[in-house]
Amino acid sequence: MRFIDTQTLRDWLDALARQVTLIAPAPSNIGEAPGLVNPPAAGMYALYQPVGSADEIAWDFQRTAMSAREFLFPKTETLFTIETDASGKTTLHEPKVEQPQVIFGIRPCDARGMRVLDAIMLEQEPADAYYAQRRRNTTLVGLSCPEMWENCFCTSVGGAPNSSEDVDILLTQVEDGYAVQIVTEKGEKLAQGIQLQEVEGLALPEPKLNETFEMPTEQTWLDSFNDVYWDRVGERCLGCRACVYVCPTCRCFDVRDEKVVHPDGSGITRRVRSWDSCQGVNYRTVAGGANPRANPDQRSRNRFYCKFYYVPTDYDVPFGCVGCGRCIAVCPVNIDISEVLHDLAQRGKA
Amino acid sequence: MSKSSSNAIEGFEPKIVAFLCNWCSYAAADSAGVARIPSPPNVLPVRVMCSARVSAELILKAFMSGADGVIVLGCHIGDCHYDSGNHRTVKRIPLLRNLLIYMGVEPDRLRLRWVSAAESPQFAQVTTEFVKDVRPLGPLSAPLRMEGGAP
Amino acid sequence: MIEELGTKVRELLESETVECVIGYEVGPTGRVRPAFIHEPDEVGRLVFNTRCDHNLVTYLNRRNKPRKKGEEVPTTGILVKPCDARSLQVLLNENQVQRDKVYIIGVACPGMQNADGTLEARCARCSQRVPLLYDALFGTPPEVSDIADTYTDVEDMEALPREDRLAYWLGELDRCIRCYACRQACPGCFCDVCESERDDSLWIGISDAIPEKAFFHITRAFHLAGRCGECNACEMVCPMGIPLSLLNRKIVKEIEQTMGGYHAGVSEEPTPLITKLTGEEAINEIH
Repeated sequence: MRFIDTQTLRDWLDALARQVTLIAPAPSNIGEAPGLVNPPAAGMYALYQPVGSADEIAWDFQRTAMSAREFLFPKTETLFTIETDASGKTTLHEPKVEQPQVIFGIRPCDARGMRVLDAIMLEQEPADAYYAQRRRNTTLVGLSCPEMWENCFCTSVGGAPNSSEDVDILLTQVEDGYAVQIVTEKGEKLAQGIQLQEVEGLALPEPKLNETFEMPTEQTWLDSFNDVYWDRVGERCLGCRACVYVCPTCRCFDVRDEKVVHPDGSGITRRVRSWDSCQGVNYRTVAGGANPRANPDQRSRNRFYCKFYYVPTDYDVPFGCVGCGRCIAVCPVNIDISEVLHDLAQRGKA
Repeated sequence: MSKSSSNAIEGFEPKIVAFLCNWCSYAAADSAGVARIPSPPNVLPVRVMCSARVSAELILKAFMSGADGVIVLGCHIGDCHYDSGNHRTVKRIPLLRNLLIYMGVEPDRLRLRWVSAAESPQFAQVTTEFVKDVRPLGPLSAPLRMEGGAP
Repeated sequence: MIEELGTKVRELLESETVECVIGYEVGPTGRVRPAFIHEPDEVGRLVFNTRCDHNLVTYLNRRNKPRKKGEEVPTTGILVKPCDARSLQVLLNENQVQRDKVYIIGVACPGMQNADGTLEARCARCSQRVPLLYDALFGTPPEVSDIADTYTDVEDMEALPREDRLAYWLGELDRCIRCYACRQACPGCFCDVCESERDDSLWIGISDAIPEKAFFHITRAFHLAGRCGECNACEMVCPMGIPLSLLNRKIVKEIEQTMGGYHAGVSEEPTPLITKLTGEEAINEIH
């Protein structure tokens, strides 16, 4: 079993930060607002951010408040710009993203989230070229979870806190350092810069697990679409969208053309895309003003169906949800995806 | 990130957006022009029917789009063409200004003054003074200025 | 108290005085959450404790129209704490809610607590423990001395040098993800299409640039001027922990100190920003 001691790891990260964009969990002051309805636990304040050295990493983090998807699919992204000069001549610029990035400390659930996004963005033609660029340039160095925390349910959706399936390298904390599993060729390439030791008989700790629960069957989802249960879930939804923005697999976006015109007639038009959310009241409003999801129960229902029925049906992944539990933690009115799954599984049996 | 008055850029001329109410200050600006009273060329006038029409959104959009200073000129209290529009203005603009100051914008960037239709020299004087006060502050930066202009 | 409350709610539902009652319940994982009671037999779900911080009045904004064309506007029962009642008064003043379509169940409030058991900051400075507006009142008002709001949180921010204030707000705005949770939770924000979200990007676009977020927060705080009941729902729901009360309370303080001690939601008087106050005729000098 390969092993790296803590200091060697930190030195390697310091050097890496000088060569690539190094993204890792870093401290934030999210927890400082007085009186949050459901304040996150102490280990849940970190945010994945570009860091300049190992010292900037929040080594004691449990789960970050936001997922890492913004590094493959940014909150706001300029797709292209068209510059017009004063004579009317236009030039098109397409941004090229070539800077390699390493996301260090990604939890297996967030890495699974990237696999789901890969399926959604890349599986079908035309693939999302913007996502593809960033994905090509990204290497994932995962960190096993020592235990499943409050709200975590990755094991119920086919994941595990120590899963190496979706990362390029997986580190598991052991005494004095980390056990290292090199998973992919990309991981092999990145690991060439690291001094790894071979340690005989290094036992990987078993993470403490939460109870796994039964998932509703496909037939249950089909049969429950018009159930009044969704009214009961949706009526307290504020439409605040927090669940979508913290989710590792949500990928809806809005596109706008934003044009700035200068007095001399020259100008610049940017086609911009930004994260959007199906939980917003006007998300599904179409030209003419009709809104097929005008009611909160319809919107809430859509979120669950998207994750557990539409995505698995349309793409080659078993679930559209990775069980990270962030949406449960952040929802101010306690709309709990694990409670819904449990309720639905019970309904299926009745 | 912050600009203090000692950081003034050489040759910088601030862009000022002036919201002028149709009945008083716009008329004053017009008369000042006719009478050839020198007024600073930095000022882009925007005519509104009453100073009470000037909402927070208009002022913020002006800042976002490139204004380094915004001045709102209305009728004197008691003289509003719509009786009491300026009563609202006199409460709203200082409130917005105090909020902007609270968030770190320099106090001199937003100003409210009364200028009546007969007061064209005062129009020139008020705008000249405003430009003089905004110039040392330099261009507006955070938190409102959009890189490359606002769409 | 909860038994009497339950009896009342059952009576309201059985007599069809209301179509549903909005209150609080405890979810399966122990978290308090809003509860919509539609059937008399469900009244056992209702609770009232020191973790009932949500302002339920925001739900009335979507119950003031019939669900289907041609139907009557439903009558709704709602549990209000004193701060919530202020938000409701504002909505009544603005004709967003009809008085005869809402049955107000007032509760005397002991003050809400944070997760760690400490009294919430907004409750520590509140001396109004009985709602000013109700059809029925439950609970015994606690003994509380007459506390005047001293706005120390706002004054501390005002006392900082300009560069520090700017750096602070830039940091907070940077963390904002424009999820609009604050707006959705606020009873005072009921526009069908928010200015910040227009499809034609009239004011701002959709990016997460700081100037656009600054526009949203400044405009929202300004639109709530003289209408904010200080329920703190906006701050409580923010997933990024942004201290929005610092913004709204700055405006509340300004209005109280310069516009005759006005507070939103304590009477039928609307915000002074839309009215003509006595004494304003004397204003001719501005700063």
